[in-house]
Amino acid sequence: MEFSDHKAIYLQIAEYVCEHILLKEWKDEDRIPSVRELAVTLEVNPNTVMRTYELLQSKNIINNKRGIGFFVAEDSISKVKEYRKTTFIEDELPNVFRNLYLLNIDFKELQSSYQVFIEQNFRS
Amino acid sequence: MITIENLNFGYSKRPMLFRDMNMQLNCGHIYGLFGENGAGKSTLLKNIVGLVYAQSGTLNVMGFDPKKRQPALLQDICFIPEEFELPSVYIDNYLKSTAPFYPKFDYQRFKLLISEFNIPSDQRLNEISYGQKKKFIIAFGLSTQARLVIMDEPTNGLDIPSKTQFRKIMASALTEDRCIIISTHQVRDLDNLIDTVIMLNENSIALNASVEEITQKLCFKRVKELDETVIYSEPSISGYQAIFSNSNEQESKLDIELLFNALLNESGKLKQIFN
Amino acid sequence: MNNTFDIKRFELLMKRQWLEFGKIYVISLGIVAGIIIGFYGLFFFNLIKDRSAGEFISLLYLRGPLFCILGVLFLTIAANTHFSQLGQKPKLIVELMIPASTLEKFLIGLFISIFLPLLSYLLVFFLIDFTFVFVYVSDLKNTYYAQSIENIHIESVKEAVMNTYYPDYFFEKNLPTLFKPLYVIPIFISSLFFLGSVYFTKSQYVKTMISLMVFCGIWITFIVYTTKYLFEDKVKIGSYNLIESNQSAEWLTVVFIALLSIVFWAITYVRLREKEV
Repeated sequence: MEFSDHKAIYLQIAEYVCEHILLKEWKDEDRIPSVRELAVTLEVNPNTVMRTYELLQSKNIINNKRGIGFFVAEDSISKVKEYRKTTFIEDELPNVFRNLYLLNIDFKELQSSYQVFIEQNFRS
Repeated sequence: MITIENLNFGYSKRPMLFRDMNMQLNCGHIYGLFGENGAGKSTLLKNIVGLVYAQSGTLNVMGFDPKKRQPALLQDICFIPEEFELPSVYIDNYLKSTAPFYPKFDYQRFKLLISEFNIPSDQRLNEISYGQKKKFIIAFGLSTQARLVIMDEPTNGLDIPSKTQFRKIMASALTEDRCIIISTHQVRDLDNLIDTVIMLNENSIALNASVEEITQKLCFKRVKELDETVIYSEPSISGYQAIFSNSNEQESKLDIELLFNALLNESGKLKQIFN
Repeated sequence: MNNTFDIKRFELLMKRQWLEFGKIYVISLGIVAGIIIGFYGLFFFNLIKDRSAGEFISLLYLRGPLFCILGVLFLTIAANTHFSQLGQKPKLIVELMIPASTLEKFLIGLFISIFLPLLSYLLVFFLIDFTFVFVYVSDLKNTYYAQSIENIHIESVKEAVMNTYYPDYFFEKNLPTLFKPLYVIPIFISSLFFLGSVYFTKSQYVKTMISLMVFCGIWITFIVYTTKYLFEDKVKIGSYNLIESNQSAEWLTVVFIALLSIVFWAITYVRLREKEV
């Protein structure tokens, strides 16, 4: 997997896991790869994956059944969305706002281009 | 797992390499050892496995003094040196002659690693290419199930697919009772494998901190303008690559190269932060 | 776990040595055998051709020097080979990291550098020598004695050969007492080259050879000057009866050389233990 330089690896792995849940490749109550398996797949340190799993556990996206492994939690998709929403608002939105401010982009202008984008990409 | 106390070391007729070095390494981690050429990365590793003797100080490796070169310690060490030589024998014979020295040797794992690395078994070990030799001793060393794994520039000589395989193998090799130390210049090869960074500078350990701790205290960013919280910066295409002190708990990705350069140039500032 | 000496690990080291270097060792022993056979064969060929006893006599005279020169060469090279590899860093690292104690590694070195070459050389030489002598004796029986004494037993023919040509190096039981110290000398020289292989890090053989020459030079000068100082104008020269051959003096020499060999081994062990990369 290609990792970007701008984000901590364990957060990028969290995104990788969330992506799989959103795309329904890993469904509710499914067993997800063990720490070691995922570390081997992604070529990263198992401790990093452990950190990711701990984070996702704290967000109730996955849970740990002692001695068996990690499983996708119930109603995981809405929890993932919630988690992604907060990270988007906290991490990415400030950048967008910064550019809006610097480039003097009006909210109305923004709204119309948002509508166009939705039309083009999601209403076909 | 490894404790180094007040280690003083220098090669004869040359200035001291280590002065009053102290370090503690634990199992369950992959340590990345970094330092400039001649800073003594290989020498430190050789001290740990007992290939060279320090002038003073104590070294404790899994309860042993490596200087004594006791078999009980040696069979629990997998040391992959940068330069090595293999005898003129086939894999089968090498296995027969050397594997029995390691009571925990895992023949199945060895077979698996050999096939994953595509090492030919119909040639003598001294006739295969450098990269293949390297892969062979890595496969053999990891199959010994040694608890201490030390590798000096392991990715040197490996081709691109082998590097990927190497990373996968190392990710699976880390267990809770194992300690892996890798010294390297090829930072990019091992970036995501390392969870603790050790940097050598000015005759001592300048930094020994986990990636988590480093990114908690420092923030690695690409920015347009610098402010007063900057610790070290390098100009880049779109502004600066910079390290800031991480006061508002931003999550960033550790840039080992940048950190290393910061250490060489701003060692005072970093020491303050990490002590 | 015994960290000093363990017979199982010793066996493993032996096995490892055999698997990695056995072939080379057998080949070099084969070369030695080839040289001896070639040497004997040459005389034997002439012997068959001429049927004269003269050739055989010259063989009997020459096999002594052959035995010594070839032996010294083989033993010194063998003694120097095993630990010489340790001069090369990469090999040294591999050797030092093998989970066996220094004592075990040293003893293996001692065995395959000194005792094994000595034993195998003696065996090879004797086997070839006996074979040729035996074949010669049978040949002799057919040609010289067959006509006159038909029912003679092979043993008495052999005896006749022994008595006629004095092959005293190997067959006579009452060896001259003067040669006794010589039995320790091969081990002594081997020990020196054994030490040299660990002591020096590059071109060990040549350096050991030079050291040996320097050592001999100093030793000879020392003896010459001390005897000169002690005995000049004090002992009458020309009569051999004045100083009697003294058994105890010879034994003292033997003991001295043997002790020196053991000292060399001890130094080798210490050097090996302190070897750094």
